[in-house]
Amino acid sequence: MSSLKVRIILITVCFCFLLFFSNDFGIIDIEKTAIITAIGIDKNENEYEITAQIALPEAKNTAAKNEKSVISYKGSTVSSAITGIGSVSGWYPKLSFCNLILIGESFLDENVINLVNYFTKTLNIQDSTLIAVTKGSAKEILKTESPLDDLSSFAIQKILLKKTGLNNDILETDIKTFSIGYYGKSGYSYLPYIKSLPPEGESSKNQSQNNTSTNTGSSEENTSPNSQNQGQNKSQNVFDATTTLLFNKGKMVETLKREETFAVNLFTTPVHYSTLEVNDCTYQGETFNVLLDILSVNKKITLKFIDGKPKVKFNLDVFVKIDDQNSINTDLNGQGNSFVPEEIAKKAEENLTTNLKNIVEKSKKGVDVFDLIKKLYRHNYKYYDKYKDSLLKVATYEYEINFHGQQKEI
Amino acid sequence: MKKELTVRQVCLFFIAFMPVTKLILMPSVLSGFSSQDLWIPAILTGALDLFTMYMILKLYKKQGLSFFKLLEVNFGKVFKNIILILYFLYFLIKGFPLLVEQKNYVNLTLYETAPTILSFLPFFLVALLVCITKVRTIGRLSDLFFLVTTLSLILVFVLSFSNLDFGAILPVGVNLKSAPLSSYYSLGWFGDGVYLLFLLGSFELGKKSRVKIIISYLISLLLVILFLITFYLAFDSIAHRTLFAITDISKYSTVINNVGRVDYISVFGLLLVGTISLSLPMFFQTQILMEILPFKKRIYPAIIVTFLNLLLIFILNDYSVIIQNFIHTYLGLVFLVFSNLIPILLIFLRRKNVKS
Repeated sequence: MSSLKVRIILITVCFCFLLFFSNDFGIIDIEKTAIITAIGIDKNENEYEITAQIALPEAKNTAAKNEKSVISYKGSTVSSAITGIGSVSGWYPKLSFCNLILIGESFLDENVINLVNYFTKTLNIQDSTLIAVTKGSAKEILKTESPLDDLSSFAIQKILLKKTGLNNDILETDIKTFSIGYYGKSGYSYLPYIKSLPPEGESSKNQSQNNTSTNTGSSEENTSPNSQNQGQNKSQNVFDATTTLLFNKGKMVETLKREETFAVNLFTTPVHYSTLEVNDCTYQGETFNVLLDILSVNKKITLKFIDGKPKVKFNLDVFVKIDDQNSINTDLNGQGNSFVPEEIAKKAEENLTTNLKNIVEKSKKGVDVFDLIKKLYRHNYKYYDKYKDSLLKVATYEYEINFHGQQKEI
Repeated sequence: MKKELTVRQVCLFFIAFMPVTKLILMPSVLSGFSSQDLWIPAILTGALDLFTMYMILKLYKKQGLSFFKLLEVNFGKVFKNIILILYFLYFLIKGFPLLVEQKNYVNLTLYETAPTILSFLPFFLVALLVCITKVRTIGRLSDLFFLVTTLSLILVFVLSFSNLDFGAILPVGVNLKSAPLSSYYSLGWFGDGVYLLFLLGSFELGKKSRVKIIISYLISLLLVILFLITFYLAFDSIAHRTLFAITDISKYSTVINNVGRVDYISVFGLLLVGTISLSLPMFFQTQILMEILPFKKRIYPAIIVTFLNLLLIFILNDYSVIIQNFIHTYLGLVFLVFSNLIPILLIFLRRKNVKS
C-alpha cells in the first residue's frame, strides 16, 4: 500500500475514534445545564414533588446560594417531575453529579422501592448515590442553611460519609445497597433518618430527645424542619442521621436509635478509632462517665443448626482504651489509658448486649439486620425452605461480648 | 507458501476478540435465568464451543483445507455457494444483536444527552476498514489487541475487588435446572468456533498447535467466567437489573472516589477491541462474498457488507431491541446449527486428494 493511502487510512481511523469516543454528538451547553447535586422527593397528594439542589457558580453570598439553588416541580412520576424541572428552568437536569437523594417522610407509609427503582433503572445517575429519609419534607431539608457548607446537601453528605476516626454512629446506604437488600432473600434494607438541628447547645438536647423517641410520624416532638426553621428565623442548622429506619420489602417497620445503630455498625462495618460512651460506671466506690476509644474489633455472627434448630451466636471482642472520664478520685488516664477496669468493661458489655437484644427483638418483625437469612441461604441451604420465613423468630440467640484493655493495672 | 496467520496469532485472536462482546448484556441476561449460578450456563455453552473447535482442528488436520475449498471439493460449487449464502445470513443474524448491544451501550452510557443514530455511524467506517483488510491484518490486530483486552479486564477485576461480596456466589448449583435454558439464550453471544472454521487454511498446524489453540480459547472462556462471577459478586440480587455490566462493575472502588472514573480506561479499552470484534462477522461476510461472486477488488464486497449492516441498523433502529430479543429467544437453534452442528459434522467428510 502506498504511504499516502496508509496516511489517509490512519487519519480516517483517528477521526473515527475521535468521534466515537469524544462524546462530540452528545456535547451539551454548560450554560444550559443544571448540575444537580441532590434531589429531594416529597409526596404531594397524588403527585411527586421533586426538589433539585443545583450547583450555581454565580451566587454572591452563602444565603443566596442555597436559596437560589433549589428548584421544585411536581409530576405524576419521579421522571416526569425531573423532566419538568428542565421545562421550567430551561436547564438540562444533569444527574451525573447527584450524590444524594432525600426522601420525605410522607413516603414512609408506602413502598419506598417505587421511588428508588427509577434511580436504579436510569443510567443518568450513579447508583452509588447516597439515599436517606428526612424528618418532615425533603424540600425543607434541602432549603436548610448549614454552617458546614454552602449547599445543605454537601453538609449532609459530610455527616453520612464518615471517615476513619469519626464515630460509627450512622448506617449510610446508597441506591445499589438499598436495592440489593430489597431484591435480596430477606427483603431487608435500611435508610438513615436525617433531622435538621440547631447547632447550639440545645442540639444535643434535641438529639437525645429524638433518639429516645423514634416514632417518625410523631407530632409531639414538634421539631419538624418547617417549625424549626421558622422558629430559628433562618438560623443555620446542622444535621443528625444517627437514627436508622429499617425496611422489609420496602415498607418501614422499625427504627434504630443511635446506640443501636452503633451496635449494628460494630458487627457490619469496619470500626477503627471510634468512641463509645459508658455512663454511670461504678469503680472504687465512685460513679462516673467514661469515653472509650475503640482500637479494634473482632466480630463474628454464626448461624448453626443444632438438632435441626437454628442457633445464632454473636461474638464480639472490642479492644479499647480510656479516652476520657470524669472521675474525681481515680486518674485512669494516668495509667497510659490502656488499662480498663473490669467494672467499666462489664458495664460496656452490659450496655452493648442490651442494645443487641433490643435490635434482635426488633428484627423479629421481619428486618434481617444481621443478614441471618442471607447466611441461611448461602451456608445452610438445606434449611432454607423450612426457615426462610421464621428464622428470625424461632432462632435462639447467644451473646458473647467482651471488652478488653491492653494491660493490667499498674 | 507461507500462510497468512501464525498459530500464535490464531491463539491471540480468541483471547483478544472473543471475550469482549460477552461483557455488555450477557451477564445481566444470564443472571436473570440462573442468579448466582450464571457461570454454569456460560461454561456449558463454552464447552460446546470448545468441543466444536476441537473437531474443527481435527478436521483441519485430517483434510488440510480451508472451509471454502472443503465445501467445493465435497459438494461442488453450487452447493458450496448455497451453504456460504446461508452462512452469510448467519453472520448477519449473529452480528446484528451484538451491534445493537454495543450501539445502545455507547449511546446510553457515553452520550448522556440526545444520542442520535449518527453517534454510532463512525463505527461502520472502522468496520469498512476491517472488511477491506486481509486475514493477515486480523492476525496483526490480534497481536496488538490481546494486550488491550487482558489489561483492561485485569484493571476491571482489580478495581472491583474491594467491593465484592464473595459470599454472593453461594450456594453453588441450586439453579442447575435453569442452566440449559440459560445456556440456550447465551448461544448468540458464543458460537466462537465458527470463526476458527473460516480461518482454516490461513494458518499451518504445527506441533502442538491444536493444544495451543484450545488452551487459548480456554483462557478466553476463563476471562468471561471470571467476569461473570465478579459481576454477580458486585451486584448480587440486582445483577439481572444491571444492564451494562462493564460500566458498573468497577465504579465503586475508593480509587474512583478519589481520582475519578479511571475505570473508563478499561471500558474504552474494551470498547476499542469491541469495534474490531463486532466487525468480524462483517469481515467474514466479505470473505464469503469474495468467494461466491467474482469481485476483483475486496473493497466492493466490503462496501456492500458494511452498507447492508448499516442499513439494517438504520432501518430497524426503532425495533432493534425487539429484534435483538427475538434473535436470542427464537433463533438459538440457528446458532446451534451453524456455529456448532455443521462444523462438527464436517469431520465425517471423506478426505479427497486435491491440488493445493
